[in-house]
Amino acid sequence: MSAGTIPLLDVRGLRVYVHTKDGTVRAVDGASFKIERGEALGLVGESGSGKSMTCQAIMQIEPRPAAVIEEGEVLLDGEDLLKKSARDMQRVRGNRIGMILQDPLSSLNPVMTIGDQLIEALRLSDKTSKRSQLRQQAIVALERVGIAKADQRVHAYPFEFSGGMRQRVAAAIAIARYPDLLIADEPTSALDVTTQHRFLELLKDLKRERGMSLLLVTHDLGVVAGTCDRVAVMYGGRVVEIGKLEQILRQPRHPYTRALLKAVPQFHGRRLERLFQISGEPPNNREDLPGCHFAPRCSEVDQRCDAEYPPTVHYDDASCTACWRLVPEDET
Amino acid sequence: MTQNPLLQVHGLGKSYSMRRRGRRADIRAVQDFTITVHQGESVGIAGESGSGKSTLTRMILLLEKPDTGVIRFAGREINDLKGRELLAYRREVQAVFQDSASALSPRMRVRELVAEPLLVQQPRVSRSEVDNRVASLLRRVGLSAKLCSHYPHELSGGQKQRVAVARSLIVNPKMLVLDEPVSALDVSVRSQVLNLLLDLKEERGLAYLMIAHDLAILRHVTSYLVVMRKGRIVEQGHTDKVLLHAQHPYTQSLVTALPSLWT
Amino acid sequence: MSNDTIVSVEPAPSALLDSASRARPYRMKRYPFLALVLLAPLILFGLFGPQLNLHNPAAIDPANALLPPAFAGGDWQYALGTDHMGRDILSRVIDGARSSLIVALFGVALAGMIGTLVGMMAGFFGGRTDEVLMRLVDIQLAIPPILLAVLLAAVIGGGLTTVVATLTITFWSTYARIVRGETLSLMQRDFIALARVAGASRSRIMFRHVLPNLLSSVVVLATLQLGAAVGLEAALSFLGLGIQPPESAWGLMIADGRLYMSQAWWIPTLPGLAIVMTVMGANMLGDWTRDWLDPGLRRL
Repeated sequence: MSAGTIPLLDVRGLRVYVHTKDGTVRAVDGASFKIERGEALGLVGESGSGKSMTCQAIMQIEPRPAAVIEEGEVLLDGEDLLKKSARDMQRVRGNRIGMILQDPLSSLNPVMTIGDQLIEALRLSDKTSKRSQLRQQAIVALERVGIAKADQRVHAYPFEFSGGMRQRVAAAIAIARYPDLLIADEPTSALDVTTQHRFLELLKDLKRERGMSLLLVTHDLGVVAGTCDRVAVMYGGRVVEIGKLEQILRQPRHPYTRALLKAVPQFHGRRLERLFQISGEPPNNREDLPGCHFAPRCSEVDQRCDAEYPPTVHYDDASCTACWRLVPEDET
Repeated sequence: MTQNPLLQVHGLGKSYSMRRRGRRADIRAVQDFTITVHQGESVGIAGESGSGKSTLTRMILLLEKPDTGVIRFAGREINDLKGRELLAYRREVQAVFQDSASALSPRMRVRELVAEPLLVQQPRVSRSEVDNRVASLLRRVGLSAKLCSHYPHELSGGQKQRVAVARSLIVNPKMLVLDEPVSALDVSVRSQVLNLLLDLKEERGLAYLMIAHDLAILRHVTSYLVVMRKGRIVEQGHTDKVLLHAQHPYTQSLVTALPSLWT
Repeated sequence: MSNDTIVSVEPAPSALLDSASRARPYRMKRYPFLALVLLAPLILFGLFGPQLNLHNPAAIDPANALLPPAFAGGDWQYALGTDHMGRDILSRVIDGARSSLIVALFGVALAGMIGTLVGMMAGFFGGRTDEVLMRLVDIQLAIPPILLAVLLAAVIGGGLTTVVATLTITFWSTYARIVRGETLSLMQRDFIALARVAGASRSRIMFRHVLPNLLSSVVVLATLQLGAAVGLEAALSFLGLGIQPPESAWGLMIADGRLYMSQAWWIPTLPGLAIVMTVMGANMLGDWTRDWLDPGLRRL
């Protein structure tokens, strides 16, 4: 990371609240992280962590009117996306930021051929080229994501593809206009483990090819382990730890990250009589707890944790954590 | 672990005929499936989608009739059970499914959900006895008895799955069929439910037939493993042996595809 | 870990005050106000009609015929005017509300019960049962309601029974179709399989598992059909097949007052307005009920 270059994506203090008739859900409550050019950041969290809502807020496709971006900045190359007009934001989507969602079945329009869907995506930034030229580009895009016989398959409908292939088509559409950033929200959760592996390899290839940045959202640390350079862990609407992949996996700082790593049943290593378990359940973000959101389940909790939310300790530009245990004495 | 075979499945098979683009095709969902589950044993079935595991589960639970093959439980053939004999089987074998959100009747309260198998199979049991059993089971699975009057949508994912486990135990079955019991749960909650299942198995001498795609879970929870692909068994044996010394290429591909946190 | 160099310590973000929220203050329609306002006359008059009436709706008084309503130059004694036979229109509107309410509720309730049962059985049992029952639905849909009413009237005469029968026979098929579709999709859900695994009998599954989950669709359909029922009843009365004189019915009043449109516009128009208000109110109530019972729609 050279000093003086600004990150591609800089999310600062993002708050997204969902207002329902049963009260307000603080889906994202002050999330901050950065992604450099060409970097893959894994955003890890469970239900209630706010990871999906964060992605939606970046793209400004959060479910309105219930979900409201209350506060924060989303800087793309220094420009705040949240201040853009709807039309300008439309130009950003697809061109500068692409997105893949979890369910390949509903990501694609069942009554259009995949060729037409790709052409439609390409058409949005290219109003002049002829349809036949765009079809050529569509074929190239399909080849890039590893779909064989692309020139024939371009006329096929989504139902003719398997789940993994559909997800590849969704990826082709997302990167058709060579965006700077690709957001993938649980892209492999609906796929088989072998397909999952291949798809993650594809994402890595695409990233390498063009120096594209990747924001990979998942609940599965294993998915992140093979693909990402850095990891941001979210819990209860906030970012609790960010760090390089190695550091997160080997020396996690935040108690939640540590517990998560221990609680996931591991294939390798000793067979356990009993698995490590974390007590309690992830929060529902309806109550405004003054203290740390993980405190009720944390094995290292002390009285500060329930009283006040911990400050964020920054170690360098790439890692930080929010835990009272790690705040140096002179700062408290 | 005793050597008494509890469930013996031999040569089980089922096909569906489907029309694909005008032509009738027979899809063999399950073919030539043979497996034995002993009393107190935990057997795993590793399979991805399309492997036929759900059809297999439904046949073993006698929700669908097999086309070929025999299922024996405690020595007796059960393929064509009806009426009282079928009910007797249902007393011995219960199930827990993957998605607790769709596995619990949305308009039934927890008390009735847990009690239903008992109410249906032994209608003459007194109300107080039923209440006692429900309360003690809820406690055993780690839930407060106060949840009795709640509806499923008021519970969290982990709580719902615990209710499903409580329900499966109320008639004191000998075997549980568990279809992806923790896949739909949050990662931090999965080990709670798995530990609960392990404890219950020890306490009650239950046999488990667990279907899952997550090899890591199967590794820790089962002692015998069957790998299924496209309706057929491709490999089987002691869990550790199958996973750590996989012979069949498909099994090997499953293992290598596993994301590892220690690269 | 204590060897890591700390660059900075950033305090936690402070809580966002409610007053700082960017959410628009728009509130969901918690109660169907407008719908209830429109339906209030029907309900009030329907329930308390006889007590509210100042005049006997059937009393013929030729001396006071064709009096205009109070807001158009008439007297407050005949607030909505009188018709060609001197009968007080307000009283007749109130009385007619009664008929409409009874007929609509009974008709929709009967149609609902029959239709739900048929639809549930068709979806649950499938196969032969399904085919036979759905053919019945097709047959019924082929019969125009008015023709049906004419036939029934020929057999049993006009009146309340004919109208309720026509409504029931006309409306049950909609329930059947919708309930059948819902039943089919419910049968795919895991909890049905688990009920079988528990040993539940088919009737238990139908009535304890399937039916309760159908109810919200049925209720929504019923509220939406109320408006259609009132409209159909009005049409039948207009044609003389429904409520017979000296009973009052809105449709009947329109039929009677048709001839006087140019000289005493209030005679057919005011009952017509009552019908429009009621049908609109019922439709709005139906919409609100559907939104209220559907947890999937996100509202502020």
